[in-house]
Amino acid sequence: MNRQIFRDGWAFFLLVTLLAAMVLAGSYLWLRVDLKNEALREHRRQVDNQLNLWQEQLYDAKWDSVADTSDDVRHLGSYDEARLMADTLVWYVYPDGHAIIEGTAVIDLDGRVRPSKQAAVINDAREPLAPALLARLKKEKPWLDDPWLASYQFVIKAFQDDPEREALVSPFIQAPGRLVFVIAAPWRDQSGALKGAVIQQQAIGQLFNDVIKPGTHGVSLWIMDAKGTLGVATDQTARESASIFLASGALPQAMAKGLKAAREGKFGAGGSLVQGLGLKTAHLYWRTMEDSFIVAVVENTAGLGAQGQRTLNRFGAIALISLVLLAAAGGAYTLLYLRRENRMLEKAALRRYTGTVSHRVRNSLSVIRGVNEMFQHKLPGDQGPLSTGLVNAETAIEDIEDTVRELERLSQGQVDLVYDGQVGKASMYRLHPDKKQGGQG
Amino acid sequence: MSLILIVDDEPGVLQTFGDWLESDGYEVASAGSAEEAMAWFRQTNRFPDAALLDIKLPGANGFELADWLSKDFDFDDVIFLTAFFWEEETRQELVARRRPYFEKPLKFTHEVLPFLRRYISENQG
Repeated sequence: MNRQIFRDGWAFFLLVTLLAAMVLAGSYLWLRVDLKNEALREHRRQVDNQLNLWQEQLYDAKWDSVADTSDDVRHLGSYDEARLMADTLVWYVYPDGHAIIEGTAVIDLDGRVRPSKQAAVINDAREPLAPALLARLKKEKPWLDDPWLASYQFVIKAFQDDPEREALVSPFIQAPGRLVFVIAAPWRDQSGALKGAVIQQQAIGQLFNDVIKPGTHGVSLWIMDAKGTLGVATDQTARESASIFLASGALPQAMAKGLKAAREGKFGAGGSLVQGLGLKTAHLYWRTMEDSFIVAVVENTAGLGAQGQRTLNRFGAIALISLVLLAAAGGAYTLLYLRRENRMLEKAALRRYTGTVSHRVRNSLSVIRGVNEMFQHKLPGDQGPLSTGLVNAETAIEDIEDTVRELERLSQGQVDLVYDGQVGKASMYRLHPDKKQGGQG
Repeated sequence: MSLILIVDDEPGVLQTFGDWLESDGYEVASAGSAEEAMAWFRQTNRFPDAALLDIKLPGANGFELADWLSKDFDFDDVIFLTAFFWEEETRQELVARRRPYFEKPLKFTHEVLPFLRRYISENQG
């Protein structure tokens, strides 16, 4: 095969394959950016929606407790105090013994709980939990029937310090085995003198499980109080993010925004920022529950858009398979093309060669035949062996002429070359089945 | 005596053809190319009774020479000789021109000479 054509053929194949690969790669990269951006936007929208929902749920949880404690305060002295506490508590418990709050109680000015306190060991019919059920629950929460802190003096102090204060949400407080917070309403007499307070105590972990956790699949989340105590961190990324957030001084600013938003009647404030977590960049989205807590979701940007990435991977696989198939088809075509090109070259070469041979032989035969015929024509009568020789020479000339004619027909594609049966006068060429013998003048 | 011009680039063909024609009683002129033939026509004071033109010639070919002769000298008594009748283009051109032709190798005693005698006789008659 001609080396130049071989090189050109394969170079063309490589060029086409390369161009196809570039188009596919370009499409892949474009789609990657587009999908990533789209997935990111969609994901952020979902995170925003989820955070807004959590913010509202936290707000509701707080104000349910605030409303209930305030209501209890109004009824203190009118009913049996323990019964009043139990009546409130049943709104937070389920038949299976699960409770949203740890307990409710009345606090005296000395900061101690009064005997009317109710721990969440009753069911929704105000009956004590069955001993077996209580024993099972206490395996996870040993403090269940005695969740109380040693002192609630901080509640009393807060209401004493601010006579106008109508409710209190405490920061997180370390209690055995968990962090708790207290929601309280002041108990004042008609002159406004503080007599005590009604509290509900919740564990932030329990609140997280009840309100937030169902929507946190695959999300790094943390919850912090206004003083910077980390209440919940779902994983190491969340812990690192919370630590960086706190160290950056962003917490007071967020809480200030939360307070401002609360005064405007909103659930709280919200925002987002970019954090550097080790070598990675992360996006942090946060919401405050008024100015009490802050809940935040942190995500590594590389992990965003998982659905888009899956689509992208599928496209990449399809593009790769397409490219391989294209290359295979192109390779096969190139091979066929080169073979056809080679045959065309052979035909062209044969035609040129035949032209040269035919021209020379036919001219030479003209001379030889002319001389031969001249001898035959001029010799008087039968000259024996000489006459026979001249006839034989004429036969030889016709044989050569036939051979040249066959070569001419071969170069014209009127006959095919066969590789057997070439004996004696049998031609080594055969007429092609669908071609008639070419006209010879 | 009839005059015949032979134009062929093969000296052997010119010589053999010339010998045959002379032995048959013709006066013979020869040229090795179209340009030589044109030069001969310009200087001669007698046109040939027939001109045998090989098709494949160095320079202009036999067809072009025939066109020149027709245009410049109003001479159309040309007979073509060819070793390329097997080529489609040559065959088509020959058929289209409607002129006599002989395929090489020439068969003098059975084809060429009988035809020339008849051709010249008919033209002179």
